[in-house]
Amino acid sequence: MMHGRRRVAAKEPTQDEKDEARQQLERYCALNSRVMGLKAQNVFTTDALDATRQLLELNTELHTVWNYRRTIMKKLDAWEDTEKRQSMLEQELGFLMKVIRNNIKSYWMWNHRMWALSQLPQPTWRGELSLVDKLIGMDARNYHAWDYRRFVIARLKDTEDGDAVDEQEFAFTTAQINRDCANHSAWHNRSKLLPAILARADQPRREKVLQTENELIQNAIYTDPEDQNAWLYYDWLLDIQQSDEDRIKLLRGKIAAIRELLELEEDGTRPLIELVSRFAELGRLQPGSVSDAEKEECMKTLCTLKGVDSYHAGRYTDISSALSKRWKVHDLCV
Amino acid sequence: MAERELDGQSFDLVVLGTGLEEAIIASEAAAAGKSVLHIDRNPYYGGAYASFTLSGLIEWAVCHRDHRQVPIVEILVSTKAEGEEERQQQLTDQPTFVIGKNSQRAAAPNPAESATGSRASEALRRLAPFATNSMCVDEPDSAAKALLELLQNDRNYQIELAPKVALCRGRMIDLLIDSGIGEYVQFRGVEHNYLVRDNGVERVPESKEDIFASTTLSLIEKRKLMRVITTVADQEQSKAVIEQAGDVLFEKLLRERFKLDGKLLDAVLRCVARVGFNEHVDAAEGCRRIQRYVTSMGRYGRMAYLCGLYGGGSEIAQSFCRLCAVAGSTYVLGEKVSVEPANDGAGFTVSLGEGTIKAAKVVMDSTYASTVTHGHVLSRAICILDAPVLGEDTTALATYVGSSGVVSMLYVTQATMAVPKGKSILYAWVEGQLLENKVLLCHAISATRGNASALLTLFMETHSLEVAGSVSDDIIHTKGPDATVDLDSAVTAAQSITELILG
Repeated sequence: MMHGRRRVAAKEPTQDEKDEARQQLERYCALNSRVMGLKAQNVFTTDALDATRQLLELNTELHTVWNYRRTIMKKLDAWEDTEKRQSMLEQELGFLMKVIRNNIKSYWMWNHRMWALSQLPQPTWRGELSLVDKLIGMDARNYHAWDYRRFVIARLKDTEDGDAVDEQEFAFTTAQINRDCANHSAWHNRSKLLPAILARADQPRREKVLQTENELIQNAIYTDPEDQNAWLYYDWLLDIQQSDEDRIKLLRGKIAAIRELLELEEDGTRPLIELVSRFAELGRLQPGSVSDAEKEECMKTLCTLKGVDSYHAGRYTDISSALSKRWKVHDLCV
Repeated sequence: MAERELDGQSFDLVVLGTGLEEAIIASEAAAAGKSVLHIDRNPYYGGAYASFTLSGLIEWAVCHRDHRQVPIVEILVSTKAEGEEERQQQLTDQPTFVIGKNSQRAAAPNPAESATGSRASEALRRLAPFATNSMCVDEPDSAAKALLELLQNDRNYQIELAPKVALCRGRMIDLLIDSGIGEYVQFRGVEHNYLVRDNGVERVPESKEDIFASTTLSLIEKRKLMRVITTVADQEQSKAVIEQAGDVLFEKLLRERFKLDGKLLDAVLRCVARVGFNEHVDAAEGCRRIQRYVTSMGRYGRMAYLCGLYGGGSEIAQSFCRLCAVAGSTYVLGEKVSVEPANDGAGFTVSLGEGTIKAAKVVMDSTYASTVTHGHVLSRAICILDAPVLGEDTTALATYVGSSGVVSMLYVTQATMAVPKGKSILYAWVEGQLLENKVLLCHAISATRGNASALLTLFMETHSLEVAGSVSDDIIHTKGPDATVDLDSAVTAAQSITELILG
């Protein structure tokens, strides 16, 4: 699925188009059986390589053919010569660029590109990164591109200053989130980078980084409270805290933030759910830390939720009954 | 001569004036198979929507303008004396040239003179009689020098009399697409929408991304704005809100239901819904305006408006004329014309130069009518700035919200191919007489232009002319540009007249 593009309605093909399609299918089937025949006979020649190329241009999803192609390449004489191998693999990357245009989301193609890069005697990781930049610019939520980006970054860190690369990547996710705060890939990549950045930081810097993260989350929540990305990131941030003490501090901060938001907008479904689950979490981490008044607030909130979000009434009733048993308070949802 | 060839012929429709409305009417009538004669008494297209080079603008002010429609034109040329760089001339200073109602009409220019130098001196010669302090053409004073310098880039200006933009999902764009004109008229996105107040210029955040990335809004302000965008822009949700609120003003709805005030209220009410200073807009209409804006975003990129290149409205009017000519209509420009009811009572007699033409129906721009009454009054300012203050390669709408009024502004640069590189033009307009609104226009320009200086500022007062008691249903008058920023009202007016004519 491509985001932000209009779907073009399918139209009935004309006779010419039908004929064209049939001929194309015949050509494809012939090519397919030829390649499979060559493979069965263990032919590893440049002719066979060329045949796989033609076939893969038509269909990127034939993983058997991708595998066969790799085997042929490794068995060619040119493979043994570093210079020749370099030029062969560079050609391969050019071929893959053509394939990317046909089908940007083919797992096999991306797998093959990673292989080609890792076999390249002199890989060009910076070049790869600018390719990924271009792809993400075209579709900021393409997770293949994001996945490949992480692969490239990991290799880049072997050749360049790893810390600087991490910082650059972190800034890149900030820019992507600013472009679209519902971009889950960007939030996810951020969560992959943050632990390393925190691990390197001293205490004051650590606090500053966490403060920035909090501000970013707040910003996203106030912009769109019903979008789940920032809430999930908040949960994840809680998970990576080193001690329960830190977690409780973060939870208290979060509860205060949700209350502030609810003052502005008392019937926001997501903030209401978050409020209840944060209290439940707090009670689990530190029994006795949730006051009676707060417990009652939770039970009331669950009742409100049942009213504003009737599709999930059963879920709220269930949470309400579980919490009333745990906290030994009256269940208002019954 | 054209009128000799046309003498004695008869047409289904004669259209006088080549403004946007007349051009649309003429082209639609021609497309419907009517025989059309389209005449303009001036040697240029566009009527009240015309666009000119700088010298052309001066020539228009001196020779061509209709004194009932534009009674006052004042031109202020900045005179920055050498070694006195710091002194910034105030816009409210005495104008350098006042071209009033009673000034003589100068003779039309000699078309043989076209070299840059002579065009510039020609413009200066024309303006000289209107100088407020004595000015000598042979020994140019500082104002004349400044003007001559500006005129060096004369050809790079396309200055519009009535600048307007097109709403991306509005009637004008739809019409351009339907008529096929959209394939060759060029547009540029109006990239930003600014709120201008006395304490500064701020971009109006229009989308979720803008709001998220904004550093000038507090979290609570972000939430409030998002609520307006998601609730009001949604037809279903806004319906519920309107029903709940009852018959209230849009401003009250924003203040009470959405808790907007200060700059947020100004941004939504003035910059997006474009509610005027003394305009009363109810909640339902306000929500419709927001929806019009929001649904326009995303059609041609993230912006809601498009700005025509090479002189906007005038260029579009010419395209409709071209379409009309292709359908077989006849065009006559720069020829005196008058219309009388025919002696036999059927249709009209059109005198064109020495010739006479019969017309079944007539549509005319109201400046062609002999007796008119004055309708809406607008005060306009056109300000050439020495720097691109709101971005170098961009176009923007801006709205000045002051304590005494709200001014609409359009900012254009080289991006529209109508301004030389390194300069910009700020158009500002407001309803009401120039005498009462000049200070407000000056405030709006000063608040927007930042550190840039105004090289030349032209003020004018324009009147929409109404024709009292129309003689017949077969003669219809158009009204010309109004105070709105988009071209849709012109299309609506033109289309309802077209319907009347075609029956």
